[in-house]
Amino acid sequence: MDEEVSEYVTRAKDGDKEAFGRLYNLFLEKIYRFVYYLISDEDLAYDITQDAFVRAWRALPRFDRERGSFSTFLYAIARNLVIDNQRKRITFSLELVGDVGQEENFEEDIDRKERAGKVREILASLDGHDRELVVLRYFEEMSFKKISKIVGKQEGAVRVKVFRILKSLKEKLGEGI
Amino acid sequence: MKLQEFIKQGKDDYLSVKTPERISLYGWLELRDRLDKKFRLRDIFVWFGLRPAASVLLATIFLLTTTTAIFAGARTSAPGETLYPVKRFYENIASSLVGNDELKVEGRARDIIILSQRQKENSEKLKEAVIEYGVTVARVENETQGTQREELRQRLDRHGEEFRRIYEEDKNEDIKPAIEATDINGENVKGKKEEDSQDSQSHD
Repeated sequence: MDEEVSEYVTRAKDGDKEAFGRLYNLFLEKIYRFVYYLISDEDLAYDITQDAFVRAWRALPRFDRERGSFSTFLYAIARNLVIDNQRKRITFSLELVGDVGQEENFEEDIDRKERAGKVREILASLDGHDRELVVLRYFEEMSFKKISKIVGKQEGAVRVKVFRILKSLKEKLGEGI
Repeated sequence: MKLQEFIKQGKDDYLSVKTPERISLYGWLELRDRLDKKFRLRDIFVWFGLRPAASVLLATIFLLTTTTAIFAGARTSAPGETLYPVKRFYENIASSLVGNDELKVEGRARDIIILSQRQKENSEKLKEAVIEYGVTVARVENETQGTQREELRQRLDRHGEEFRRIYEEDKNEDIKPAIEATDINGENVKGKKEEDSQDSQSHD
């Protein structure tokens, strides 16, 4: 996939919209999911995702592979847009997605939603930046190096922060569930 | 729930978030249209992180333009008009900054001139303006001395000439009291006499 992405990026940098369209199709779900999980609003997540791709397209001529992968570049843009948006919003709530998974078993579905609800409740109690670190590190399974490029901090600082978040999560899990 | 379990469930929940079908179907088409659009001014500001500065600058320009337009409009307003209070407000501020009320005398004179040009529909207002002019002149006259009084006299002379010209054109009797109000020479003479008599007493 990396070679495929690399080729599309090269073509997109030269102004090939179809190549960028391929990149869009490859990364749409990842970016949408990342944004949605941080802001919990379907329409807003879509708008931010689209804006992230528009910005990526415009910034593509200055994109330097030496400084990070295309996905890092895209996640960093999406993250900045989420931060801009969250500055305007006062409250945050993680609601369950209505159309997620389509289990035929009703009881299983309820049970899954209940468990997911608890997980989201704990995630929602975290600070926005902590939440995004948990998402990037444990749900996206990114390396600390990649995360540090996305959030624009030193790798060591990210490691320390994640360690603290885990400690805080352990406490919350011990008390809450 | 243990941390490992929490992370596993969280990841499952995270990965269960799918792009809505409409976005998968139409997202690229919509985005493609947006990519074709040229840079707008707003985008340039956003790109350079100047949005807050640009907003402040635009707001300042808007405020200055609006204020200037309002004061310019107010300058030619007559008593009873919407912008007239702005004119008086400006005069009050300017007078307090300068330290004398001659600007107010000038303003009342301008009221008379403006109203006399719109005489037919404003005869009552003209009468009121003439009265106010007389009152203002009398008040300022009492407050001014020395060189300021001389400047006031010259200013009133100019007003007198203007009022006489208007009177000769229109033969409007309403303006006559304003002409009389500009004539402070009599009092000046009186003032001179008083000074002379004080001088002679001191010599004696």
